[in-house]
Formats: sequence, C-alpha cells, structure tokens
Amino acid sequence: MPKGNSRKAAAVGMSLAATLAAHRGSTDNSGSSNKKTQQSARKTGGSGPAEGAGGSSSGVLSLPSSMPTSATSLSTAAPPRSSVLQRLLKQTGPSSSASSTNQKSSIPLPSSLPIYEDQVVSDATGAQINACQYNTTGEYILTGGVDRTVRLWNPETRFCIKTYEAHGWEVLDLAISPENGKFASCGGDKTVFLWDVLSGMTIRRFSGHTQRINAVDFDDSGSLLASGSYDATIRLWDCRSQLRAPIQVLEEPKDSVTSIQIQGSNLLAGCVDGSIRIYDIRMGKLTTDNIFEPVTSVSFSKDGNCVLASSLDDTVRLMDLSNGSLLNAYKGHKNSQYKIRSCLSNSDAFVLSGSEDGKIFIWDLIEGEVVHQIEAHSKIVSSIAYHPKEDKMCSASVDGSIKTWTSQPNP
Amino acid sequence: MSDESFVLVGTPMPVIKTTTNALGESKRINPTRDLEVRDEQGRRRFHGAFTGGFSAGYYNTVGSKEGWAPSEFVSSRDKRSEKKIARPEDFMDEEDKQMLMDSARLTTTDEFGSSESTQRELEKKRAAAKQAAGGVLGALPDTLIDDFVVPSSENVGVKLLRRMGWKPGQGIGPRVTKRQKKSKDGQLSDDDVDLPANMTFAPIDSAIVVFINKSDNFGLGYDPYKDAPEFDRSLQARTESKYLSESAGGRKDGMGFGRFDDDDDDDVYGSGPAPLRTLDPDLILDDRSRSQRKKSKKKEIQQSDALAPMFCSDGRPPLRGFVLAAAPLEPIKLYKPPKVPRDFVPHHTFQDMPKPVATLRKNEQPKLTADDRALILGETPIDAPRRSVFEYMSAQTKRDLDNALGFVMDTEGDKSLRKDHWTVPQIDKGAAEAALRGFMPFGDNMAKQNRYKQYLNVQAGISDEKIDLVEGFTAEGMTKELNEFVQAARIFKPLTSSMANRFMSASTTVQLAPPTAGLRSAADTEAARLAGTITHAVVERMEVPKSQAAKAAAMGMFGPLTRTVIDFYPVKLLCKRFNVPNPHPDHKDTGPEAAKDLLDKDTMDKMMTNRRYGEGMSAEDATSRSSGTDAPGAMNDTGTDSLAEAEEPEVLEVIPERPPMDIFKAIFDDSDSDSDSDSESEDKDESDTKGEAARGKDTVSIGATAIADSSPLDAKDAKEDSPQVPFRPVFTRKTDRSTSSTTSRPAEKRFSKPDLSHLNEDEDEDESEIGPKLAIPSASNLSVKKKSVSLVDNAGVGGVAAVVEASSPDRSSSPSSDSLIGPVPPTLVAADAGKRRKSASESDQDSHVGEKTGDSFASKRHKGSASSSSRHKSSSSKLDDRTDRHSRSSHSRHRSSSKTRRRPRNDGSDDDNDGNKDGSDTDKSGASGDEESNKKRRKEHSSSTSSRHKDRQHREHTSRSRSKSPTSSRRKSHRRDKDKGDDRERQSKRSRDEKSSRSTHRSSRHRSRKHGDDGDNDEDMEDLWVEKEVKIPERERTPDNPPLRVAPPSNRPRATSFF
Repeated sequence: MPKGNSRKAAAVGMSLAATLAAHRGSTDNSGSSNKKTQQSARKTGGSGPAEGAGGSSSGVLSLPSSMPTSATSLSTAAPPRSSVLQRLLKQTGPSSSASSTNQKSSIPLPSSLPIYEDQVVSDATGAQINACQYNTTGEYILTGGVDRTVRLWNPETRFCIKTYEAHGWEVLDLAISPENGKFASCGGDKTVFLWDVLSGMTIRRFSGHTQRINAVDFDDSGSLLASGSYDATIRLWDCRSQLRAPIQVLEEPKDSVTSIQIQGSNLLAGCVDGSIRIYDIRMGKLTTDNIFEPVTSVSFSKDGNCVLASSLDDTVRLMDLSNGSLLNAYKGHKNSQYKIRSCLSNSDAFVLSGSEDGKIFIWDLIEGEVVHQIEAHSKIVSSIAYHPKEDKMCSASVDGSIKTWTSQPNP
Repeated sequence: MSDESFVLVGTPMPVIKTTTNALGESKRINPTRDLEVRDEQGRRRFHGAFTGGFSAGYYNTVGSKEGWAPSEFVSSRDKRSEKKIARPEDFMDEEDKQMLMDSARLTTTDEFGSSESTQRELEKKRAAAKQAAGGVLGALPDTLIDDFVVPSSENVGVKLLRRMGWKPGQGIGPRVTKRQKKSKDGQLSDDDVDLPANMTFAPIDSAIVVFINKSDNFGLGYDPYKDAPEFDRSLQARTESKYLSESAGGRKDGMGFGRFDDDDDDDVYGSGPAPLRTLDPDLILDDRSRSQRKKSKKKEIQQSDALAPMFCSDGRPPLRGFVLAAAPLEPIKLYKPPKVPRDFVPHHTFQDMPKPVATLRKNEQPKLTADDRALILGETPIDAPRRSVFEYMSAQTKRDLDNALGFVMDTEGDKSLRKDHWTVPQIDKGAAEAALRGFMPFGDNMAKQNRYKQYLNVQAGISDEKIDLVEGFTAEGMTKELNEFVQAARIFKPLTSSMANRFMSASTTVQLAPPTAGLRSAADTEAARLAGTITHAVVERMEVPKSQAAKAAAMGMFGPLTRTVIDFYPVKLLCKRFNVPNPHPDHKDTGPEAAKDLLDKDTMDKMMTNRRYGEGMSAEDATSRSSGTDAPGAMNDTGTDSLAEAEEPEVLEVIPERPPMDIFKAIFDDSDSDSDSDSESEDKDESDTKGEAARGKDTVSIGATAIADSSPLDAKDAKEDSPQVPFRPVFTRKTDRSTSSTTSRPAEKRFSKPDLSHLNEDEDEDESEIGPKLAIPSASNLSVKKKSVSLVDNAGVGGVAAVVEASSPDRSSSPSSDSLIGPVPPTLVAADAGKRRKSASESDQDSHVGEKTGDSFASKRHKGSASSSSRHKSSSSKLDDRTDRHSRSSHSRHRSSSKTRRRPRNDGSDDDNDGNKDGSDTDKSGASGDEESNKKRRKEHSSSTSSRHKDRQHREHTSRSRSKSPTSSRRKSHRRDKDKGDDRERQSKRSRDEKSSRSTHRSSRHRSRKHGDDGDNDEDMEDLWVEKEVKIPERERTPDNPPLRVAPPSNRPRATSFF
C-alpha cells in the first residue's frame, strides 16, 4: 500500500479503534474503559501529526506545510462505518451477479484513473525491482530490488537522488516512516535496516529473523517496526529504544509471512499458510481469516474496515474486517507464483494490482469488474503504489523498469 | 672428597632415563588420541578443524609464509631477464628433495678414470664392440652402457691383477717382446727406435669378445627389425631404459666382469613397450630366453651340448639353434560342425510372446470413435456446440418437426443449456435433515437463508412446496444458487455428523483387473492401457481432504467458519508503543519474568492448584472454583457451591460404571508405551500408585495415598463429604489469594468458569481417573479416616514382604525410571512384580551416572529406602491423625513429598545427580511428554518445599537407624552437600524445564506448520469443539436448565484416541 497514506490511515484507524472500543463498551457493562480508549485514541490521533511535523524538519522528503492540515481534517471526520462497506452493502440481492454483466460496458471510465503513462522513471535496464513506495507527500519514489540497493527517485525529473547501499542481499520490501526522515528496508539479509534518508547510512539494523524477511512496515508513529519473515514469525522492533531484541515475536503464522501492514493498533499480516491475520493490539485479539490460498499481499482499506488480500489463485479478495466475510473477489489478472502487490486507490474506489503478464489491472471495487488494463511492463509487475494524494501511481517490474502513471493524458 | 665418606652397598640401579627422540620428547606411549604427526621441524602436519585453522594453511603448504610468492616483475627494457627454467626441484620441499637425492644416484664422480689410458681403452672397447656386433644391432646398448659406466671402485679381480703387476690399460697375459707385439699391433711402431731389444711389453689390451648366445629362433643373421625400424627403436629404447633404470636404482657395480650373470630381478615381462608385447610370440625376441641367458650361460651351453647328438628324422642334425622336440606335436583336433536340422529357422520366436501391438490396435480400432482418437492423440477438442442432425436443419423444418414430435422429443438441444430452464439439484434426505439441524449459513441475507431452509425442507421431505423461480433471478442464477445450497448443505452439518466425516472415503474407486500371472512386455501393458482395462488410480490426483472451513472458503463463503479469533497478549512495551492500554491486564506473562518468581509462594500455590485440578485449567479458574468452598463456614451460602453439589450425583453415577482397570490396561497399556507415560497427566502418577496399592502391594502407603489423593474426583468426594473436617483446610489455605481475584468477578463468570474448568478437568480425568477409582471402588461415602483404615486392612492381605518391596516396582514410584525403563506389559504387572522390581532397580541404577555400586548394593539400598520411606509414611499419617486439625493439603504434600524423596533415595541418595538425570529424562521422553513431566517435576518440587524439612528429619532418622548398607555414611555426606545446593539446583532445573517446554512448544509449532493446511484444519476443528463446549455452561446459566455434564467421558470424542 502506498505509505504516504499512513497519516490518513492513522486517523481513520484511530477512529476505527474508537468505534471498536465503543462496540466493546456496549458489550461490556463498564463504560469507563470505553471512555479511556476513546481518549487515548484521540490522543494518538492528535500526537501523530505533531510528531510528523517535528520529524519532518530533519527529513528531506517531507512537506511539513501540507501534512498537519490533512491529518487534522481527517482525524475530525471519523465515519463509524466505512463508505466502502456501505457502498458494498447496498449491493445486496441475488441479481447483482446477473446484472453486472450488462453493466460492464456501461461503466464510464472515470477520469480519475491513473492509466496514462507519465514518466519512465527507470528504464528496463536495471535489475529486478521488488518494491516501490511513495513517500508520504508523494514527491519521491523509493525502490528496492535485486541489485541490493535502495534508490530514491524524483519521478518528475527521473533523477536518482540517492542510492542506499548496505544490503548484502536483495531488497524485498520497504517502509517509509511517517515523518519521512527514515525508512526501513528488508530482504535476504535476515535483517531489517533502518536508514536515515539524509545521510544515507543505516541507523539501526535489527537482526533476529532466521530467514529472509519478506515484509516490513512502520506503525503510525514511526516508533515501531514490524517485519514478517520466511521463518514464519512476525517480529516487532522498537525504533525508539536501543533494544536489540524484538519487543515481541508473533509466532502464530504457520508459514512464510509475505505482507505486513500496521494501521492504527491493528497489525495485518498475510501468510502463505492461507490466512490473513489481524492482531488487534487494543483489543488483545488475534483474528485469523483463512482463505486457504497463499496470501501474498494484504492491505487495509483507507477506512480500515476492509482488507484487500491477493492470493496465489489469481484472485484479489476484499474481506470484511468485522466478520471475515468476503465482500468481493477480483479476478482476471495472473498471479499464481509471485508476490504481487495490490493496493486500493486513494478514494477506495478502485482495486489495483499488477499481473504476471506485465499488465496492471484496475477493478471497480463495488462491481468487481475490470475497469481497465494497462500494458505496463514487459515482465511481471512486482509492485504497485498509489500516490498518497493525487490520482497517480507508480509501478515497478521485474524487468527493472519503474513507471509512473497519471490520470491526465500526456500531451 | 665427600664421595669417599659414603659407603656404597650393592650395585646401584641404573637410572631410569626417559628415552627421548630427536625432538626431545619422551617416548612414553601416548594414547592414540594424543598422537600427533609432526615433521622433522616439529611442526604438526595434520590439523583438526579446530586446531588447525590458520596455521594449517600457513605452515604446511609450500614452506613459506606467503605461500606461492609471485615472481617479481622485472622490466626487460634495459636488463634482459634471464630465462628461468623451472626445474622440478623448485617445487619440492626438503622431504621431496631428499627423496630425489636418495633415488637419484646417477652421478659421475672423479673416481671415474679420467686418465688417458682409460679413455683410450674405452674408445677401443667401443670400436671393438662395434666391430664385433656389427649390423644394426651392432652398437649393442648393454655393452655401450657398460663401457660408459665404469665402476667407481675396483672389484676383487682387478685388485688381484694389480697385485700381479697389471696396470690399467695393459692387456692380460705374459709380457711380450717388441717383435711379438709388433706382429700383433702396429701401434708402437713409432717409438721402437729407442727401445732396447730385451724389453718386454705388456700384452695389448684387447676388448673382451662377448659371445652372445643365440637364444632366438630366427635364422642366422636374420634381423627381425631390419625392415621395421620402429620395432628396432622400441627395442633399443627398452634395453636402454632397462639399463638406465638399473643404474638409476643405485647399481654401481660394473658389468663386463661377469657380475652381470647374477641379476635375475630384471623385470622383463612388465616393462617392455606395448607394441612388442602384442606381437606374435614367434616373431618377437624371446624375453624369457634372454633372461635365461643372463642367468646361466653355462647351463645353456651344457644343455645345447646335451641336445646336440640328437638327429632329425632325416638323419641330419637339427639346425644350429634348433632343438629337437622331446615329444611329437599333438595334431590339432578338428571337430565337425553340428548338423543343422532342416526345419531350423534362424529367427527365434518365443512361445508365449504377445501378439504385436499393431494387430491389437487393428482389433480395437472400431471401438474408438474419432473423438477418442483425438483424445489419445492429445488434440485439443474443438470448441463447438454439440453436433446434432437438427443443427443442419433449417429453422422452418425444425419448427415443423417440433410441432409434430414435440411430445416425444425436444430438438432445441440440451435442456440444461437453455436459458429459462433450471433444475433442482437433489440431495439425500438424511443430508438435508442434518443440514437443517446444523449451522444456517447466509446469515447476512435472510431471504436467501429462507430459500435455503425451504430447499432443505423440500429435500428432507418435510414440505412439498415446489421451488419456484424467485423474482429477480434468472434461471441461471437460480441454478447457481441451488447448487450453492447443495454445497452448503454438504458442509453445514451438526458436529456429530461432521465427526463421521473425519473418516475419509476414498476419492476414487480403484478398479483393478484381476491380476494375471506371468510376465508381460511393455507393448502388452500399453495395449491394455489403451484398451482401458487398467485404471490408473495413481495418476488421478487424490482429492486433498478439506476441512469444513476450507470447503466453505472454496465456495467463497467466508465468515464465521473461516474466521478464528483467539486472545493475543501483546507485551507491555508493545502496548506502550501503540499507546493502548494492556488489553489483558490479568494475563500473566509466561515469559522470563514469570520464571523469576517461580519460587514465590503464590506461584507455588498456583502450581499446586493446577496439579490438583488438571492441566486444562488455569490457576484463576482453579482459584475461582475453590473459592466457593473456601471458608469452612461459607460452605453452603454461595451459588457456586450449590451448583457443585448439584453436580455430584452425576459424577457419582459415573464412577461405578467404569470397567475394571485390567481392561484399560489390556487395551491401552502397551509394552512400548513410553508415550503412555508421556501423555499421562500428572495425576496419573498418584493414581497409578493407588491402583497398585489397591492390588495390595503397598500396604503402608495406602493410608497416606487415600488421604492425600488430590485428583479432581476425590476433590468432589471431599465436597460431598462436606461435614468431614479434614478436607476443609485445603481450601482455607488459599483464601488470601482468592479474595483478590474472585470477589470482584461478576457472578456470571463464576458460574461459567467453574463449569469450563470442570470440562477441562474431565478431559484429564479420562486418563487419570483409572487409578483412584479402582483404589476406592465403593468407599467414596466413607469418611477419610475410615477410608484409610479400611484400605490399610485391604492391603494387609498383601503381606509384610510386599510392604518392603512395594515402593520400587511401580513406574510411578520413581518418576525417573518412568521414562528410562519403559513400562512393562500389562500382563506382567500383576504376575512378575518381583522381577520387575529387580529390573527396575537395575535399570534405575544404570541410569545414574555417578553410581558405581553393584546390583546387590542397589537392591539393598532399595529395600532400605523403601522400608524407611514407607515407615515414614505410616508414621506421618499417624502423626497427622493425632493432629486432627491438620489439613488435607498437608497430607497430600506429605505424600507427594515423601514420594519425591523416595525417588532420590532410590537413586542411592545421589541427589547431586538429580540435575543430570532430569536432563536425561527430558531428552529421552517424547516432545509432548516433556511438558507433562516438567510440570510433574515442578509440582513435586513445590510440594516438597513445604514439608521438606520435616521429611528430611524423618529420613535421616530412618536411614541412620535402618540402613545397614556401607553407603549410608556416604549418603549422609551427600545429603549435607545437597542441602546446600538444593535451592540452586532446583532453580537451575526449573529454568531447564522452562527451556525444554519452550522448545517443545516450538517443535510442536513447527510440526503443525509442516502439516500445513491439514494441521490448520484440525486446529480449526478443535477450536470449534472448544467453542461448542464452552457454550454449554452458558445455557446452564438459566435456572430452569439443570446443570448437566456434557457427556459421559466415554462418548466424548476427545477422550478417544482418534485425535
């Protein structure tokens, strides 16, 4: 998922937590705890932007002026039930499947879809790219790949600003801290590297995993890192203290953990054992949704009520977080062997995913129909990231190319 | 001076001096492991992985620190670098060079005559040899070499000749006058002027004529290599190399003086060049004869002499060099070729050879349709609608036909393909009924759920409604939905029926043709395959057994089935980082923090409670459970209590129904039931003891056992016998703990929790109950005092001898022997108690490393310890009777602690070995058993701490008075040591236990991970089970619902071994 939205996600996640807490409060008889959680949620939501602003002064990537406004505006608006879900739930009744075929042609191609090639940030000459991420402002792109480096690009000028070299093995995933001053990368080193963006040096190296690390993510405050590894564990690392050992090792996954996302107090993990695990730290509950297909990519929807999960049966599923039911399944692309990232658009209106035939598929979230396919790359589209603010996206491929896409046709 | 003042008596013993080798090391014999290989510099030659390392590659490679030093580059611009020819010596180390020097002795020294005469002589010799031999083979290499290589030292013949006045360069023989000499040789003609007439000269030195014995069979003067120069060369090379090798071998002695005869170690067979050896033996020079010639010239001459008078058949002597054969040559036998029978066919045909494939194919060709053939050939089927005659008709004709034959047939193709047609899929009546009783899916869409219900009702035959097309549905959609219903009905069944589904039916039916005897060729099987007689069951992919959840997921019905929610305990720091309150403030970490407080009183008590109430229960549950019965006075006023009492009749009904122990033993107790002992809950320990006690083996301990019995059942008994005073104090001890946690708990939780624990406890009971129930077959109503007395009486039958021996044989008595010896087959249990005891003691002893005493010792000690312990028990029980306010828990503690003590004493009181032994225990017992045994041990420890002191007093007393074994004093000292290190030891042991249990956990996780989906599914199933079971107590909450036991233990699936 595009990391740039973590700010927004934080706010929404907090609101979700609050609603959940409210839910719990209704079931419990004691109302005091409810209040407390709500208070704490508010506290986190408020403190988040402050920290972000403080951190941004040191970081290179951030635009401090834009950040607090968006965060505050979002934190105030906290819908109890997601708009996505509501939209989906409107579509009830058995006729949906039958009627959808007719509607396919009638869906107007929305102008907001980033389907026009904007820039070729990197030609298909480099090594395989495994991960690409926008920074929280969307100005820069960070990519990591088989060439053991992490590169910082300016997508507008196609200029590679910095190359971060310390990895001894391929880079498999990246995570940018919310204040943009740091980022984390992981890969075959079995070590999570925490980098300083400015200096280009590693600040910390968290080692403890016994196998390669597939996924890494920051929490919303940037003080915690979660890493999921092939050794079937998720480790939570503390960035704030100098603790070498992980804060906690989650050993519930039964197979390689392929994808991780933290949103609010929820930790989402996709696992090859076919399950989506949601660690609700606030509630102290681990929810496991089994889809019985190796899950390769998971991400929360922006409102935090749904989970988008790609699995190796050529399907992207949208699962309801509250009861684990399947809201929609998106098919048409090819994804049976490789880890291919999927993401949602900023408005949660579209589902985007790469494909093993080099295309990018865009589905309508509600209808589940392919809205558009882009012949993006010559090889597998390994990673896709949506711009945190605008209707843009970037995609990276195994052929080494990185491309950005806009909604406006390029003259 | 001083030496003189001493008187030496006798001869002094020779000083034993340690012989040292060149390196100054003493030569005493080292064990093999200490032997080292060193070179002459004293450097180690071979290094192990951990001793070698750097120096292994440093010193022993090429002798320099740098290893192979690259040669320095020298610019050749102004200084031409010398061409360096690398010699082999450059690459040799000292040893190799030494070896080379040893082997290479082909050196010319100054001893070789450099005098003029010798050289001349040599030249002459050479010339002579050339003359004598002539021809191609003239310069015979042997003589040539002989001449080149002149001996460095004179042999005896030469020395003698010198003594006789011979000088080198002179000929041998009487001296000759000038004239005589002149006639022979014209050499000295120049200087004859000056010489006096009477002067005699030494005879001219002439080359020795070597007569070569013709040992080959060629004609005279025949040169076999005349026209074959390559053979000539090879022969030459051979001879040369031979002599070279001879000289290289360090042969210094010269040739030509007759010594040549003696060499018989010539390798004449092996070293020749290949082409020669492959020649016809007639054509080559006979090697053997050559060697013979070398060996004994004389002999051959004699032989030839002896053969000479023989004549050929024509009266003439044989040609020179030929020998008449002693025996006539045998004529070559010639055999006639076998007569070929007339009907012989040159091609072999087997009788039972299968017919060629082609004919078979021809036979079955009519059976195959074009489609079949296409399938066999692997063609992709044509994606086209089904061909039918009606396809080729015009629409008008079709309509006409329909009108005419509409009642008979429908030409509009397959019904299922029609848009407006839909069928109601059928399912079994039973399946539909089961589905009706089971979980109702589609909870989010009530209309759909109702349709599902309706469908099931119709299928179950409950209602006769016709399933109509729902508005808003197309026929296609309706069919789809109905199919969905079918699948849902298949999945959502009540659990009982899903239990039956645990037994998979085969996914495919394998129909194999009856096997026919005999061998078959590949063509045959191929033909059979084509004919389709063999079903390839292997080829077909077995359907992976799917759990209910997986099936649901496959159908896209995600939701409650695919979701599991469990508690997740974030650590404190994590909550802090996420800025959330700890969601489980009551949850205590089982991590390292908890390990610190293991010796806490609180922890101890908790462990005690855990032990008492079974594994599946947490300490909290136990506390809450016991809290109701806590205070002696508050027995009847809490709701929990009444509930507990209401349960009791049910429990009591169950007890007598249990079949006798032997049946269980016969069924479950295997001879190799290591796992048995592993999987048992810790209660089994005591219960086993009791079981044996009931058989009248352990009289004295029974009293204590019966009283101290702490299995859940007896706890219930205790509750039932509420007026009995001695039971009460168990619970009073825990009041301080329970008040904090239970008083604030809402009432409903109190209700549910005990019931939950009750369930769990039942689980454990299933296995562990066996003992206690047998031990107290019908005496549950008796008071404790009575019980003990009666049991003592019962056991009295066993006799005094049994008393003494009772402690050791049973597995439970010494937990250490549990895993080491392995249980004994059930049949032996009763019969061979004595033997078992012996074996147990033996193996017990084997298991303890530190012990060195013999069998007799051990058995003696066993007896002593057993008797003392039993004595102690009896005394303690008496004591307890006397102190009537003594708690039951203290009883139990006594009992268990005495047991704990008994174990170490069986070990010969080698408590220091305790740690080792435990470690080995942990290693030996299975992964699952580890946790059990660990808990057991921990518990024992906890119990032992309470009354350890007292117990020790007893023990020391008894051992001092009773044991006559010589080890008693040693034991005492041991004990003193042990007292000091006791706590430390326990701590370390506990940490070890922790570790092992953690590792077990990890391994189990690993296992489950390996199992993948299956394991997961199982887990899911189990979770479902738990959920189900949890639900029951909630129902009980309502007052009109009488509290009920879920099911008798025998019926419950968990208790059986299917899981």
